[in-house]
Amino acid sequence: MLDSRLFRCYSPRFLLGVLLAAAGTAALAFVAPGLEKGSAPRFALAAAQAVLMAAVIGGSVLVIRGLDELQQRIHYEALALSFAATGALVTGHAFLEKAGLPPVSWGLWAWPLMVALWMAGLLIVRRRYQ
Amino acid sequence: MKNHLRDLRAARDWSQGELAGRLGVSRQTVNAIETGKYDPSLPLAFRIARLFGRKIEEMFEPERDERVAKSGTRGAR
Repeated sequence: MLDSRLFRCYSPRFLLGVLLAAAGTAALAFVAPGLEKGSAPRFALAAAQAVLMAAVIGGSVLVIRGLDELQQRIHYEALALSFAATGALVTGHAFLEKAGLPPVSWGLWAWPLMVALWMAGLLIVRRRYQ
Repeated sequence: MKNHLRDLRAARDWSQGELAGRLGVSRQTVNAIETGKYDPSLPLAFRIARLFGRKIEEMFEPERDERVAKSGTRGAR
């Protein structure tokens, strides 16, 4: 079962912001194929998606900075785990792809994977301090 | 590192949550310090010592192995 305390450090306002940014990014991705590739509107749309993602990163950093020292440590260790695991998975898949596995668009999946591994990392790391 | 936080907190009849509020940290952090699973940073250690009106070395003391390792290092110089 998912530990409900995992999200205690996040304010509902921040979570709402992240969900809105994710919805905005998805909506823009839905609109994008209707625009001509290489056109100014298409580039503007892609830039808007990047800005939304940058806002989520900045918001996450601010939220983590607002936590106490142990919670910060738990997040940093979880992020390190997520970073290493994502790198290992992407590189591992690259080798397997050369061996014949179907290709995966990591540009699209790397972020959700990193976030999922970050959450999993939180569950693992926080157990050490309980 | 060993500490006497649990005893001192109990002597004042404070809950972990109450102490956490006074220190500006989470209850989980207080629990982790009390159980020796987390050593606080120097600024937090000073805040704890000040709150209980003690010196920092009265609140925290190194484990036996740490003391031995320290004296061993000093002797090697």
